[in-house]
Amino acid sequence: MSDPFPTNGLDDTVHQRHRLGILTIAAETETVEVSYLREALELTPGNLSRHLAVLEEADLIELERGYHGRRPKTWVRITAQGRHALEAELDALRELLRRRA
Amino acid sequence: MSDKPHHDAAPGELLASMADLRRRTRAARHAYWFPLILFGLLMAAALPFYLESAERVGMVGLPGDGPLLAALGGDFLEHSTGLGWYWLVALLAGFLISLGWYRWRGERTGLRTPTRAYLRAGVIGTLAGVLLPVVLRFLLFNTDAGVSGATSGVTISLLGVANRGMFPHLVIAVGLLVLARLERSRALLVVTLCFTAAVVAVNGWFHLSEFEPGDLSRWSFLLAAVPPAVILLVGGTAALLTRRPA
Repeated sequence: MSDPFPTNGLDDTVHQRHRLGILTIAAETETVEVSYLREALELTPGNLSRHLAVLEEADLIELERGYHGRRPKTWVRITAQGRHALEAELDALRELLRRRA
Repeated sequence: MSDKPHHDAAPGELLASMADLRRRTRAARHAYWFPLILFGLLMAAALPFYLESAERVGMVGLPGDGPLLAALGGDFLEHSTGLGWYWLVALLAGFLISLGWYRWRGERTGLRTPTRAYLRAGVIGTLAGVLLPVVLRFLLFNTDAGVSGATSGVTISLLGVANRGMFPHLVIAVGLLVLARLERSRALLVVTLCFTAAVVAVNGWFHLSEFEPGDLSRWSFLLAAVPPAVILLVGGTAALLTRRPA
C-alpha cells in the first residue's frame, strides 16, 4: 500500500498561516505576550483574539491573564498537544515539499 | 483577513515564513550577553584570591582542613578559604541575578525564556562544588585499594580542578551550557565551549607539568582565572554589541 498523501496530516485548526505563526512563536518561548504576537504577525487585536480563541478551544494553547503594574497583560503558553500539532504540521509540509520536488 | 486554512499555500513558502518567524523570535529573545559579562566580572573580581604573596612557597595546611562551605576555593592557594567563601556567594548571586535579568527582560520584550533548568543547574552545581571534594577525598584515601585504584584517574583529576579553585568555573560552564540550550543559541554554545576548553587546558597544564615546590611564582594561579574571565567578557561584549534592540 502506498504512503498516505501528506495533506492528510494537515490539521485545519493549525494549517492557517497566522495560527501556525502563533504556535511557532509560542514554541520558542515559555510564554509570549499578546502584544508581541500582534506586532510580529501584523494582526489587529480582534483578529488575533479570534485565532487565540480557536487555538485555546482546541487545547493547543493556554492563556494566562495578569497585570504588569496597572497594565493588563495576556500571556500565551503552548501546550504539549500544541507542540505535537505544530510538529505534525511542519512534518506534513516538509513531506509535501519533498514530494513536489 | 481569512480564517480559512491555507491548503493552497505553497508548503515551501509557509515553511520559509515559519523559519523566519522562529529566527526573529530567537533573536529578540536572546539575552545571554548579561550572564556572560556578569560571570566574567565576578571571575575578574576573584583575581586577588588567585594571587600568592611573594614569600609563600607550596601548600599551607592539610587538604580539606578548611570550612566545608568554603570548599569551592580548594586547598592549593594561599587564599583558598577566602576564595571559597567568595565563590559560594558569587555563584549563587550570579545565578539569581541573571534569573532576575531574564524575568525583567521577558516582561519588557513580551518573550519569556524558561529559566528554571538554568537556576537548578546553578544551585545543584554549587552544592556539588561544596560536597564533591569531600566525596573525592573519601574515595581516594578512605576506600580499599581496589576502589581507590580504579577511580583514581577521575578522582585525582577532579580534585586537581577543585584544589586550584577552578570548580566554580565548571559550575558556570554547566549553567551556560543549559542556557545555550534554553536560548537555542549556537553563539552562546561556542563561547561556552571556548571557556570550557580554556579551563580544561589550564588544568591539563598544571596537571601534566608536575611542578616541584618553588617552581610556581606568585602569579602562576592567575592562569586559573584570567583566560576564562577574558573569554566570558569578550563573548559577552560581542553578544551585547551585536544584539537586536528589545
